[in-house]
Amino acid sequence: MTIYSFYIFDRHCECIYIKQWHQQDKFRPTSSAGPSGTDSPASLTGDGKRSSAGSTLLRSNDTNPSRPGGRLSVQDDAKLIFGVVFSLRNMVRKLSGPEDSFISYRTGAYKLHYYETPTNLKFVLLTDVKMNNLRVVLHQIYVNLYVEFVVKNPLSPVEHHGGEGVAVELFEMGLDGFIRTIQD
Amino acid sequence: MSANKAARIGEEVWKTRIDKVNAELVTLTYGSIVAQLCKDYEGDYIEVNKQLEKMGYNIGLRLIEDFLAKTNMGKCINFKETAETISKIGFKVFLNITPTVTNWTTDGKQFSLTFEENPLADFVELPDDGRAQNELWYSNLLCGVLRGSLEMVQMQVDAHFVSDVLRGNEVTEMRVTLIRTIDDELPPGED
Amino acid sequence: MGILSILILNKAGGLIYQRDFNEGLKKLSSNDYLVLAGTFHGVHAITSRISPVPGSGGLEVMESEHFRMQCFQTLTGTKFLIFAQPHQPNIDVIVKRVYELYADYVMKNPFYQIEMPIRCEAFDRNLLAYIQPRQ
Repeated sequence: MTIYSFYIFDRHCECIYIKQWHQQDKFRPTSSAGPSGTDSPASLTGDGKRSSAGSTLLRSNDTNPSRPGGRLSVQDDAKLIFGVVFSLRNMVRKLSGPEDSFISYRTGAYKLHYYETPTNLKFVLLTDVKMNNLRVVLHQIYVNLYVEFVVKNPLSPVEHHGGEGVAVELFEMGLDGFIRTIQD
Repeated sequence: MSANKAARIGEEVWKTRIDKVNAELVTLTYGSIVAQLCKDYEGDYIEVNKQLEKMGYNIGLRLIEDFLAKTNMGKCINFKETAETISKIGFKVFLNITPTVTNWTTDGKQFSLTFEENPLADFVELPDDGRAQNELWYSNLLCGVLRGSLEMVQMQVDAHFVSDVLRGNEVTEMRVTLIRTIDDELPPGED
Repeated sequence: MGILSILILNKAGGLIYQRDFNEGLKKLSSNDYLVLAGTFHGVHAITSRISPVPGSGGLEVMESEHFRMQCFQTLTGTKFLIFAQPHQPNIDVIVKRVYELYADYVMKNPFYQIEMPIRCEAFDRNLLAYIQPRQ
């Protein structure tokens, strides 16, 4: 049971937090994000700040000329994911009424779980196909981690442009620990 | 949701999921904020009202997330449900009071909250300079809190006090008006 | 059978068939369905691009609180969208059967223009008979 990545999008359609696990670096020749060439394990916030997280290597400026039209940068990925969940969520509302909400979808290779708060904060988790419905997990992350460590932190701003104020240490540590318990 | 159900939820959350703090501490802290503002603005009570509302607004922007997290509420269907939620669950969870919802207009866009008790204003007497009694809304922070938290759930409202026992009125009453429902933001480039 | 509706999209994402079988989804205008189909076509393509693991196809199943949608894309690029109640079993079997009916009554009809909206009465009849008799 593998969890691949986690995203938070705010009500202004901006990605304010990204965390990735189990990335194989040959699939991620990123052009975005932060300082070049260092080997530190990384998780990215929207503005490219790094914090250690124990996830696998993410080398920037990794040249991989044998991959024409290669894989997407992390930022572009986040934008596409937002587009997908936004469109699917609107589709569900159009078809079934405003009380209904999009929960998850599955392809042959991965599953995407979605949770949106009434304040239009969107939480997205990408996992392997065997995972059951993780909407409860996303709700827990919101209630026990996001609200506690981000919203209630008086020094973090209310609007998180570029992810500012979200990747605080307590939130990251809590998230990491929580995800690990799920994977076991 | 009916008023009874909302009251039950409010009571249950208050009892089980809320850390409690000494009430005197709250009263004294709020009081010292208001007093300091009055001193800083040299008796310009209109400005003090504005600042209190602004502070409340900033609180409301964050408070809504805590509220949603603790009570697991989803979106309210209409403004009437919003009013019941605010009075029976919101105020209950944060101040342990339940103001009554009254004076609905016929279009359902305006209502009043009547406060039988107000912990922020315990033991308070407004200054006797002749102006405070007519100009200062002591608990104006609460108006800002409502405005900020409702804005985060897509409602633009106006909240202001129309009477206050501290001013010698019979009751403390806040009038809340729904100005408009805010639409979802679209990603840039899509209209 | 808890099938709510069926949509069929051609290779380019154009809507060529739409039919409701049970109450459950809102009734939209035909223009709305066209837009929905086009949007879904795009989303489907992106879902394979954003896969964290290489070699993913597009979206196959989507769940909401009140319905479940299965998308079957044929090797020819045609997409079948089956909307059903959340705990409807055996959707795979149903999808297969619908595909068979499509292959018979639509593809084998020499007067049906490929990629155009489906107006084959036999297809309609047989589809209805398959989806609805067991209600």
